[in-house]
Formats: sequence, structure tokens, C-alpha cells
Amino acid sequence: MFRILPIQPTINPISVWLVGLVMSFMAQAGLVAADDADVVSSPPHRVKDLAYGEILYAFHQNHLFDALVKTAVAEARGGVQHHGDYPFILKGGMYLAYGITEQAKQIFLEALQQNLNPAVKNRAWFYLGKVYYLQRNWTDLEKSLTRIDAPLLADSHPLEFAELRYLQVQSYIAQNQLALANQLLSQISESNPWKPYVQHNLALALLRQDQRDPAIALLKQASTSIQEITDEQTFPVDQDEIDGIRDRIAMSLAMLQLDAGNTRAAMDAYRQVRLHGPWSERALFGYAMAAASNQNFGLALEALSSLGKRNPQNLLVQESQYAQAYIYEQLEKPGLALTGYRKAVNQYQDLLQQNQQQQSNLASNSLEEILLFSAADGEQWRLTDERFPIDRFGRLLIVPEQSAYVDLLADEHFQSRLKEYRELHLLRQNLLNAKADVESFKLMLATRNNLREQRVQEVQQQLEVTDVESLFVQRDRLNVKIQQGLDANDHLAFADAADIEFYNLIESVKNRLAALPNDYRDPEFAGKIRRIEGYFTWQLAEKAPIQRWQAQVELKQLDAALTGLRIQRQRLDKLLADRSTIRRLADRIDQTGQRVPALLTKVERLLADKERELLGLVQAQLASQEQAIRGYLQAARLSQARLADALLEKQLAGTKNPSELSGEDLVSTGKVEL
Amino acid sequence: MGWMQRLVFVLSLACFTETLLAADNQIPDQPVVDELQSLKQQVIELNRDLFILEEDLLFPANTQFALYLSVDVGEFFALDAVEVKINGETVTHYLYTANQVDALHKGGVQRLYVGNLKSGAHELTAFFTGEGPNKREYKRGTTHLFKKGGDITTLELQITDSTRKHQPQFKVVEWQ
Repeated sequence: MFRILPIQPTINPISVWLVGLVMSFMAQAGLVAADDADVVSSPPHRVKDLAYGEILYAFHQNHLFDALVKTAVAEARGGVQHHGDYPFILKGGMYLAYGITEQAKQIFLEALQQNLNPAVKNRAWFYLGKVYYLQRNWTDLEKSLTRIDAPLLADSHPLEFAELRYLQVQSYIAQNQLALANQLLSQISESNPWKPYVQHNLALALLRQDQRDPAIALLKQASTSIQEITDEQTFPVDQDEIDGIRDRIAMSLAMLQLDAGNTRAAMDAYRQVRLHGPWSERALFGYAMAAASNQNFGLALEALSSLGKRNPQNLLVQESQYAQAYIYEQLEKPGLALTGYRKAVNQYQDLLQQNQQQQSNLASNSLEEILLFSAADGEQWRLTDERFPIDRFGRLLIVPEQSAYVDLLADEHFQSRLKEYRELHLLRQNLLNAKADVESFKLMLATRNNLREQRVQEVQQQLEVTDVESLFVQRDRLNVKIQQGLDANDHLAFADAADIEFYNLIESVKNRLAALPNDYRDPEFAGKIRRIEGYFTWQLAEKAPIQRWQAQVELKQLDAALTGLRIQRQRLDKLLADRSTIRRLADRIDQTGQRVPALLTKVERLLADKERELLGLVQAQLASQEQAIRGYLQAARLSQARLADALLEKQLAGTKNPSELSGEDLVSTGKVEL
Repeated sequence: MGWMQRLVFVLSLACFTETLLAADNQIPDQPVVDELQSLKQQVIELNRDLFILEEDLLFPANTQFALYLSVDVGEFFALDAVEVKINGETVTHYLYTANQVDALHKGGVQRLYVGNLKSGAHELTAFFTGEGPNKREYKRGTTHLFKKGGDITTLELQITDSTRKHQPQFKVVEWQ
């Protein structure tokens, strides 16, 4: 009637592999700056291309989406320089880790067409193999793995070589070639950090073929392997992960030992599980069962009592009440047993009510309203929060507020759907942001355009005031004058202002003299003015060639200046009329903006499908829980009734005085609820 | 073993192994996965285009000024915050998370600031706050004069270690 409920995400072959996959990337990422040893002579301490540095900055924070966008931007601007082939591998790896396997495959296939350094090529084959593994394409996986130069990989990247062995065994397991898997497993070194995983997974595969004893033997070996890995530390050890797989293996081993009837061995295995790890409640419960089977009722009660002090929302904690009652019954303590059953009945009734409430909530609430999470600090999170606490492997770091969903969230199938749902939600959010950005860009461009038009008008007004064309008219007039002066050999035409003033003065004196009556004309004055005029004409003739030349030079300079001015004006007119930059930007904004609604529609459709699917799974889970709770309730009620009847019979038969029963657990037919 | 316990164990084991084994047979719904992958790729491309468009719109090459920050080794200095002033005016004040500092230590380079500057001479001042040698609070500043030309001007704030002095060093490097 009981069932063991998983309380944390189960580490199963798929998640183990994914964990390994991302781990591997992260491990490599740690080497990124120095790992270019493959392609350059000395490992650089700092990046040689800022774009690459930016990609790494996002990548090392596990912001894969940002890192991929930055990679795409870098490519649009000519690609990452000075880092050889490494960005290629990183890009493929990031696509793979972000779940775009097809793109990752294309990148690695493309890379392999090029003349790569052998070590880089070797790794490209390895990653291509990973892609095929994810796609479950066993034929191409085998082809890729056979292209890998294993000794070279072992030498250049030992951790990847270790993982290669894991991939090979896993592919055999997946294809049900267990003998081959076992054979290859025996060749894997004890320090290989992947070994316990494949041992565990192979054990499960054997179990699927009803080979329980070999599975048990393999799980025992896996426990030993973990110890070797921890002791040797050939590769960096993530203690959390080691503890996690140790717990997992111990749990599997304990369950199989129980199944085989080896209760003592099962108890030993359960003891290997950490008391405060994710499997602790399940282990305590299992331990209690194993101990009870082994007639160690004291140990069983101790374990159940310890379990009973934990989070009362946990289903296993609730079930421990029934189990305790059962053990009390076995220990012939009917009073305590009856109290236990009664408590169990009450709890199951409450649980049933909660379950029904949850089922009715499903119809009116969205998935994110149903699945609420709370962290240890009490902070509440929604599944769609962008910074939802997940570890670097994508696993949830917090538990749902309602214990009914703990089991569901531990299921790999549900988790993978949930991951897709979150990704779709984030894509949707990103697209909504993009839509808002496009609108902002449009506004910015319109503002810029208005400002430009305003400026154009101002400049045009200024140009109208300047009136360049009138300058050309004046120039032409001047040119005519110069030409006439030259043709007429007129020195005065090139005279400067002082000369002209002097000439005018002579002319005015001459005119005044001419205007005088004859009696007043003094020949001396006339002679003087003639001499002055002669001297002036002589001087003018002396200066004339220079002044003519100067006038011609200045005219040429004026011509050059006016031509320049005309060109500038034309250029300015062109610039004022040219709206192509703004138009190009507007076109780009429009084109980019047009892509958003179509993408948004697709994402929203997929999101709705995914939500429906997940709600269906939640519904099924709640229905299944309801069925189980009803079963538990019925069993508890039956036990309660059976025990009450027995006690009543004894009481009625007078074999035992009611006062002999313990005070708290005193039973009377009136107190028993059936 | 009583009948109840046997039932418990059988059921428990069944659930347990079922949970474990089921995942192995759960191949994702391929067309949906393909569609999701294709969508992800298209959204990445859209974001790329928007990013470039935004830069072209807001930070044209002839006025663009970009400032980056990197950390090399960083044994003598644990970065907490950076304040950047250009021509005496604070343009950014950035506080770092442990995750970001870790990313910088692994070779990542942060684009700390991007803005527009007129052609001509400018002064950059950066103040670094954090934990220095002997775990003491440490604040240092560095000033750099630079000329903004007609093309994008890119500077990098580098935090390095001086093993000789057992002190951190703060440099400003101009990228061509």
C-alpha cells in the first residue's frame, strides 16, 4: 500500500548524461583562455579579441543565450580573430548545451571539413559524437567515435577521453548490447569519474532483463569505484556530485537487496545514504521497512520516528504514521497502534481534501500559478521568473510549495517538459522585449529624423542668405572689367584705391581750372597740373603690369574659391537631400520588427501546447495521488477497525480489563471511527 | 515478512525502478523539439540583428566609445566595484557578483560602458574597489588621457598582478 515517493529530481541515465555534458563544457570552459594550446604555440593569459572575451564572460556565467547572441554578433562583424579554431568548438559546444543540437551538428560537421589541427579535429569528432548521442543516432555515433584518435585524446584531454568511454558504454546500453557494454566497462580505469554512472546504468539495464544478481554485483562495484575516484582525485572532484551519485547507488542497491530478501544488506546500503541529502526521507523509510522485515522493530521505529520529525508536508513523513502504527501492532502494542492508525486516517482525509482542492484549482489557474516554489529564505518564486534558481545543470534548486508536486517534479519526463516550458517562456519574454525595442527604435529614428529636418531647414535658410550665385555674377562683372582694361591697355582699370583717389583729385582740379573764366586762368597752375598728371600717368604706367598681374591672380583665386564654394554647396545640397541613412535604418528596423510577431505567434502556440501537456501531467499525477491516498485511507481505516474489533472482542470476552489498556490509547467502540 | 510489508516492498521497488527506467525510453517528441530548436535559433538571430541595429542607431562609429574590463590572475585583488568617470563625470558605477568575478578570472571580458564622445581629447578615470593584499580594503584609481578620432574608440581596463611588487596593477590599454 505504500510507495516510495521520490523527493528530488531523480538522477537517471539521461540526466546523468546531460549533467556530464554540461559539466564537460564547464570544465573545458575553465580552460578556455589557456586551452588554445591546441592551436597556438603559447597559451594566452588574456583574450586577443574583445569579442571573444565578451562571449566568454557570458559563457562562464552560464548565460548561454547571451553568449550565443554575442557569438552571432561577432560573426556578423568578421568573426573572432587570433584564437584559431577554438571559438568554433566553443560555439558548437554552446549550441549543444543550449539544446540546439542540429545547429551544433552543422558546426562540427563544417569544422571537420576544414584543415584543422589534429587535436582540435579529434575533439570535433568527440563533440559530434555527443550530438549524435543526444539525437540517439547510434549509427552516426559509432562512426564519429571510431574517427576519434583515442590515445591522442587521452593525451590532450584526459577528461574528454574518460567521457568518451562513458559515451561508448552508454550507446551499447541504449542499444541493449549489454555484453559489449560490460566488456568495455571492464576496460575503464578506476579513476574515470564516469565509471560509477555507467556501472549504475548498466545495472539498471540488467535489472530490466531480470538479471538482479549481476545488477547487485555491479552496484557494489560502483560503490567501490566512487571510493577510488574520491581517493585518487585524478580528475577534479565535485563533492556534491560524488555525494549525489553515492546516495543514488546506495538507494538502488538497497532496493535490489530488499527485493532479493537480503534485508540485512539492504539496511547496510541504506546506511550509506546521507541523512540530510535529497534521498534521506526515502532512505529512512526504506531502512525502517528493511529493519522491520529483519525483525529489528526498535531500529525501524527509530528511523520512522526520525522521519516523523521532518517536514509534515512530505508524503513519506505522513506515511510514516501508518508504518509506525503497523510496527506497534507487530510489537503487540494495540493501544499505540490504534492511535497511529487513527492519526493516519485523519492525515489521509486531510490529504484527500487538499488533493481534491488542487484538482479543482487546475481548471481555473495557469501552470505558473499552480506551481509555486519557495526557497529556504522563504522567498517565493514563479516558474517563469527569469532568475529562477536552477543549478548549472538546469536542475531546480528549490522545492514546490505544495508537497503533492514534489513527486512530479522529480520525474525526468516532467522536468524535461518543464525545462522546455521555461525556455519557451523566456523566449516569449525575449520577443516581447524585442517588440518593445523595435517600437523604441522607431520612435528614436522618428525623433532623429524630425531633428534632422529641422536642421536642414535652418541650414537652407542660412544658405539663402549667403546667396552664392550673386557672388558669381559679381565675379563675372569684375572679369569683364579686367578684360576691358587689358584690351584698352587702360592702366587706370588696374589702379588701386589711392591712385584712383589721386586721379579723381587731378581730374577735379582740371575741371575746376577749365571752369574758370579765361582772365582767371593761371598758366602756371595749368602747367603744374599737367606735370602732376604726367608724373601720375608715368607712375601708373610703371605700376600697371604689376597691378594687372595682381588683378589676374586675384581673379584666379576668386575663381578657385568660388568653384570650391560651389562644390561645397552642391555637396551640402546633396547631404540635405540625402535621407538614405535614415531610410536604411528605418528599413532595418521594419525588417527586424516584422520578424517579431511571427516568432511570437509560434512561441505562444508552442507555449500553450506545452502548458496543456504539463497541466495534463499534473492532472494525471493528482488523480494518481488521489487513488493512492484513497487506498492508504482505506487500509488505515481497515486496520483501525480490525484492531478496534479485536480489542473490543477481548474486552467483551473479559480477557482484558479496559483499564489495562494504556490511558492515552484507551479504546472504546464509541471512540473508534470507521 | 508480513503480507503488508511484502506489498510495500514490491510496490516501492516497482515505483523506484519504473522512475529510473522510464526516462531511458522517453525520447523527446521530435517535431516539437525541432520546432523549438529552430525557434531558439531564430530568436538568437533576431537578438543579433537588434543588437547591431541598436549600436548603429545609438552609437555610430564616428562617436562610439567603448570601455571593457578584464582581470588577469587577480591574486592580489578581489574586485568588488568599479566607478568610471569621463571628463570628470561618472558614466558608470558597477558592482560585481561572485559569478561575474569568476567569469572575469576565467578569461571573460566585460563591456563595462558604451557611449558617444565628440572628437578630440578626453580624460578617463577609473576607481577600483575591492580586497587587496592581506585581505585589506583596497581602493585605487587610474587616469588615462586619450584622443577620440573618427572611428570607434575602444579602451580596456586591465587588472593584473605585479608579482614583483605583490600588488595589483591597473592599466588602461587602447585597442586599435
